[in-house]
Amino acid sequence: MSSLFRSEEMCLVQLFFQTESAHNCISELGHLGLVQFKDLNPSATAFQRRFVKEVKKCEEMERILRYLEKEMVKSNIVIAATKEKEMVPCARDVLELESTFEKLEQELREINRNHATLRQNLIELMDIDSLLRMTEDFFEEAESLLTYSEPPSEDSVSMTVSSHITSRRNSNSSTSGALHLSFVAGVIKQERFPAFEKVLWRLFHGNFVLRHAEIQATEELQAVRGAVKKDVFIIFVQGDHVREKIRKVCEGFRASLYSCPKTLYERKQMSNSVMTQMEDLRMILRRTEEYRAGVLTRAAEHVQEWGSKVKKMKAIYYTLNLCNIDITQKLIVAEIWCPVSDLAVVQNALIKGSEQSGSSVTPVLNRIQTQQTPPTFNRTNTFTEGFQAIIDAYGVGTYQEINPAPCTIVTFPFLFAVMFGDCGHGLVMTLFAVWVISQAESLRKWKNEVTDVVIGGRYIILLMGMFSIYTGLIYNDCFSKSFNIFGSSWCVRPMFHPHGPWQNETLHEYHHLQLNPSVPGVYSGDPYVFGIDPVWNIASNKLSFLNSFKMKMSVILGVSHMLFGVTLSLVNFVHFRKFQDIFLQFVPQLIFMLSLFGYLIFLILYKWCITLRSETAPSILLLFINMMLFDYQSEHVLLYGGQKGLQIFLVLTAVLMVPVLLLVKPFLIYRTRMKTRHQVFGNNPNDQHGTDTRSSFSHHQKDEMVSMGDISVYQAIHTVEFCLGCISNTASYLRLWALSLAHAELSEVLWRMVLQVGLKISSGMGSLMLVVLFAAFAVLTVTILLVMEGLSAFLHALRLHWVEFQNKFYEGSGYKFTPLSFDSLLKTQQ
Amino acid sequence: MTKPRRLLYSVCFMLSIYSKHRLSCNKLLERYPAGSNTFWRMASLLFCGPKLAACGLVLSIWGVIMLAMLGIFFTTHSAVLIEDVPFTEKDMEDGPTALQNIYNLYNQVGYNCFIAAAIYVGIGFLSFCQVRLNKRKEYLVH
Repeated sequence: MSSLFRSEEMCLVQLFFQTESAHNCISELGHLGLVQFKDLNPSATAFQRRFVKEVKKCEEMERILRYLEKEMVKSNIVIAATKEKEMVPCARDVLELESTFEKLEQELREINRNHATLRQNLIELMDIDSLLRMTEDFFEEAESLLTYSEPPSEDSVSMTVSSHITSRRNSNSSTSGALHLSFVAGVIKQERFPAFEKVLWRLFHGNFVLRHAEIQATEELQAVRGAVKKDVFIIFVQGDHVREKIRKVCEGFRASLYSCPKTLYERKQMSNSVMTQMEDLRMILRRTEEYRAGVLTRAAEHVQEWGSKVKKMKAIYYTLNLCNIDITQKLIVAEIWCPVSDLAVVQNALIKGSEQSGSSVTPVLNRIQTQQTPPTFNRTNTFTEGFQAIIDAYGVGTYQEINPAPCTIVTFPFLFAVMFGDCGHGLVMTLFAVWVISQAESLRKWKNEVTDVVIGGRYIILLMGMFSIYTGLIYNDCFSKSFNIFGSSWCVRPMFHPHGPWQNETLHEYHHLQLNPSVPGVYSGDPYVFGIDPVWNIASNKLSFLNSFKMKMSVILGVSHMLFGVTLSLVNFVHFRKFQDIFLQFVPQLIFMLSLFGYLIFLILYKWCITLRSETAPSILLLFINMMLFDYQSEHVLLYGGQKGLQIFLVLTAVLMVPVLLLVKPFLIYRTRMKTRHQVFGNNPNDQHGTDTRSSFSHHQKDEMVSMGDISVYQAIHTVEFCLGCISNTASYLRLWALSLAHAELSEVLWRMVLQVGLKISSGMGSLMLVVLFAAFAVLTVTILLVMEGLSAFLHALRLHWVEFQNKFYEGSGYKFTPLSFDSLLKTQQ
Repeated sequence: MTKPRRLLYSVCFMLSIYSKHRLSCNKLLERYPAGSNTFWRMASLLFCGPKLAACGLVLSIWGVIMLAMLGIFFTTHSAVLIEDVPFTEKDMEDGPTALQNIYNLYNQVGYNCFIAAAIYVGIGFLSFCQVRLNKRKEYLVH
């Protein structure tokens, strides 16, 4: 039976197919996504498996693909998305793909290397160029120095100021006659320059002339070199020995030195040649980049297709590693788990696969019986996927156990809505969910973790929003204000003279007045048609009424939810044919729960239905406590006649169920074991029969691994857990009241402190303030009330399901069915 | 003319001028598509990114609907909203006009809400234009 109520019936099937058709068959099964391969070589490590080399090859190809993709991203090349379902290549195509990839990688690496070298050369040439340009003035200075060392003439007046200063500085050292100045020129990083200068001063005590200038950072320079600032420097010194020392210092500071020709003409020539070289290099660089872009663009068209092919190949080889290869190397044996209802589909896929590979022998399917537990497979669609995921997050169901997911589709949003209960917020949530559902595909491209979670749960959010609108209408709460659609049942006017006690003076004397429903006309007698009366929204004792109502509602909902859980355990017992457990477990549990907590619900409903005077009405909590303590004093008010007798009967029944739960089952197991042992020993005369029973007895011995002590302890734990858990879980459901109170109060505070401030301004500026304050109100509503409270209510509703509901029937000790599926493989990668 | 009404009219006037300007820009942009640089200066009226514009649009739609409904509920003198009306002790003195005073206050708050809703219509229109400009910019760049 294929439905969501129970996990599917699975069967273990042996497959035999030929080695040639292996690839095609497995790829067909992978596209189907319905079979899970069992590991037939569990003792082999990863390196001992047969196809480990092929898997390594696939991983190498994946590495090359990742490198290619990184390069493409760096050069801003768009990777085209392919959509067609490609055929899986066989082993030959793998080799072809491998060689293509290796060639591509080598080519790309070489291009990158050349590019780097060319760029380095370009930087050097640019440095030389700037050096030559800037040292022009310095050389002019040097020339003037040389001429100035001659006896001064009238021409010397036309000196520049800087050379004047230099001449003054060097005039001490200048002698008559021509000076032979040699120089060292180079480029150094700007941050190192001060230290460089200091070292030179310390070494040479000023017997040199140092000039430096910053290289102007042009855009091109920045693009090629980056933001590093460099300075050009030139040092004029006397003597070769000093020059050698300076060279060593420059090397120490990692300044690059360039030889500069002495004469102007030579410098001009060098400048020109450097210019032409730079032009050439720039052109070469451009060509290299174009070529690289071309290679990458050609590869970009195929890279996704290659990627999916390689992934599929890797999955196929991994699967082949799980199978057994026959001795003759011609046959592959595989064991798969497969849903019984899909056997025909699997067979068709295998036949198609073998036809594609051109082999004559069709694969053989052989269903085998097994004692192993099959995996749990729940067939879901896009709507039920989310709910099944939140159930599986706690524990995957045991094979063929009842699946709580269909009930969760209704109860989870409902319990959320009881805690959230505001139709305005519910409406916003529903609209948001509708938007996410309509934009699901385009939102998936954002590839953010948070958006993935929201997209996965979009149907859950939709249902939560819709149920919240419903509970919001029941609580009559929309952004903390109530709707008066049907006319309130309470009326204030009859409280005044002549109907009632109030006069004009009463209004002046008292701050708070209470409406008296026994005065005729105040309460119309018929309650509000749907939900809470809107008059409570403006009453100052609103919370006393609502708290009592919500607490009782939470207890009723909680006990009903748990009773439903206990009933589901009955369904499990019937399915697994454990009829004994129905009478030993289900019935006592049900009686225990009904006689205590079912009676509590009865008290609540009864008290709501009858008319009582509020001064003398008994508290249900006190009634319940007195019932458990057998405390019946004469001044205690009871709700109805015969209550004492009924309560005593119910408590005794409940207490009686505890030993039934605790003792009967272990006793019965003990008795059956004694009986079988007695039977074996009683059959001694008939030898042949005896050997049979003895062998069956030894078989029983093996099953008797669980000792009586273990069974009794397990039963005791189960009983205590159930009985005490009943009380604590019922109290745990009070969180439904607590969270809904918190939500209502937060909503009211937000309205009163934010929006009401704007509404109460009556002057003309009121509307502008209202605009600003409404924006603040909206933002705070979304962040605090929708996101924070929503997450909180989601969490608590989930906890109620996982713990309080599911521990009444759910075992959750299965393992999930993970079929070989190419769709999910490719989806998880992206 | 009462103060809020004057304010409302001035706001509407400014909005109409601005919308005329924008419409003419959009018409020109439609006639000369494919991003000629001369019209880039007009498209520089874009002052917020796509996400901010979308948020502004959603906020304005919510504001228009909610404030309009609040305005209706105030002008029909709903009792549930009594705490949002700024009445004082003086308004509740015994007298023939006590009830009418309260109703007048209700109406004032209602009109404030309507004006705020109108302002949100303007903001919504602005955000919508920004959204369209952002989309156009996206297409032009590619």
